[in-house]
Amino acid sequence: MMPHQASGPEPEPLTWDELDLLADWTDGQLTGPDADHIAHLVATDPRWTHAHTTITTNQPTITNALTTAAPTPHEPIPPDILTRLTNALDAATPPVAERHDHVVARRSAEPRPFVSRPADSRPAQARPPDSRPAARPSPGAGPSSGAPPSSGPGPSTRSRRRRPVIAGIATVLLLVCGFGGFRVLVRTTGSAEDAGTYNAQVDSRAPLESAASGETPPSVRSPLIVIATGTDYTADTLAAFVAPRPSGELAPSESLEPLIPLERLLRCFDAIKARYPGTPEAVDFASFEGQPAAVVLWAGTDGLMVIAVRADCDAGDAGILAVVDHT
Amino acid sequence: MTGLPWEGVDDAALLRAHTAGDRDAFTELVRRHRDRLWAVALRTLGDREDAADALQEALLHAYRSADRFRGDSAVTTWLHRIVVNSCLDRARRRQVRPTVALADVMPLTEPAAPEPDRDTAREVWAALDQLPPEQRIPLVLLDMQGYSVAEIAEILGVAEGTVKSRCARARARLAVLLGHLRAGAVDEGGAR
Repeated sequence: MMPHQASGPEPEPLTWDELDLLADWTDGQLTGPDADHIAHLVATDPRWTHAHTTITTNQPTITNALTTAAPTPHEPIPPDILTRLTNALDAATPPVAERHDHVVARRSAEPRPFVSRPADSRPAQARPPDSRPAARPSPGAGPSSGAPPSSGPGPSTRSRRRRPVIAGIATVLLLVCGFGGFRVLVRTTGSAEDAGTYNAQVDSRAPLESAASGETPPSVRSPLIVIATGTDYTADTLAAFVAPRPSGELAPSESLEPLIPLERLLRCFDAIKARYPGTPEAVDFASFEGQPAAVVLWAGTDGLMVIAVRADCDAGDAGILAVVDHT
Repeated sequence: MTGLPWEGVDDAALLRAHTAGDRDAFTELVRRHRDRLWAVALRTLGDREDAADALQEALLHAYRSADRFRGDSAVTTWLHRIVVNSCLDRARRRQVRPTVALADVMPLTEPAAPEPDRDTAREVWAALDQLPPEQRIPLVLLDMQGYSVAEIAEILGVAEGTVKSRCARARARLAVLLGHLRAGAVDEGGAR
């Protein structure tokens, strides 16, 4: 994508990436040879000179514009939103059960709602105690009407989950959750070498069993389809991620190079689950917009999603790059 | 104000009480921070319904995962981080599959704001909508919400230099996208 500038005799605009570099340099974030290189470009290249002039002369305008667009300093949460939160939190399950009530002395005789209800609020439909809120109200139904309807299927409008269909893929492994951990049960295609890399990790089972036998059971359905297509997904193609059926006709591959070791992949799933309750159905070791990524078909509480995570996805940091509803 | 049963109790103690099973403690914690968290969600997403969804998702997450709070940061920072992460997720989703433009739904300042200001605000939100969420969110927090670079760095879990860089990049993009305002609405409209 190219920055938009007015047409005319002006030089060709910088790309967004070039503009980022220029911004870093202008802000003093670059040092050494990088800074020298950009300084040279600004001094000698009309494109860079013009862009530098644009961003420096327009800064006061941007500051003013942001101030103009900023809301009033103190904006209380609207009553209808507060009611919604109250209902959701009222219905939520506490982190510990009431059996712990004796630990802390109660400070009021009667339990209060989790968020004090606005006096003028009308009863609102409580959302389920789920981390993924329910679908939006239909346009015009609420105080925030003005938003056009979503162009895609909303979470609650999805009448049934679509099953992934066969795709041209490289290699497929099925992992099953069994006693003692996860292991490769079926290799659906390819030679013995196909799964060598992955088997090497799977067969050294100690870390897997460790991962699988912890206090929190791994959130993996059985079987989990793991593929390595090397596809470079984009924002446009991610939603159409397709996983193979185990019995499908699959193209052989030379090797399966796991982007994420299985032990860490399981922790990665838990990190994803913390954001999006659900379970993985399929994983493709691939890339997203040029960056190594695991693309996960995720069965969320409201339907299938496709989640791209960085290769360093691990416990506590899912490294989510993109999330879309599966189409 | 209520009977102030929690007066003098700090946020960390409230969170501990919550994880120990006191159902009132989280109520108080939310009461203390809900307005700021709402403002963060609304301004970073620009869509009232998206913001409400993100805030609800975040508070439910905080409610359930409070026992994992390690106390490495202030409770308010932890809450902000959860809300911002929730907003980031939604912003990324929207970017991949846009359903509604920020400028079409963003409540533009006060209803009585002068028309030039409203037009400018609409253009600003439209431009903000074109920024990557990783740039838009720190910029909104810094330039529109008044958080410090250090606070934003802690909320986002990145270095202060990263926050500065993302904001500088965001401003540079806005300078290109909104350059036409220089002799236009902002100056003529008497931007405040």
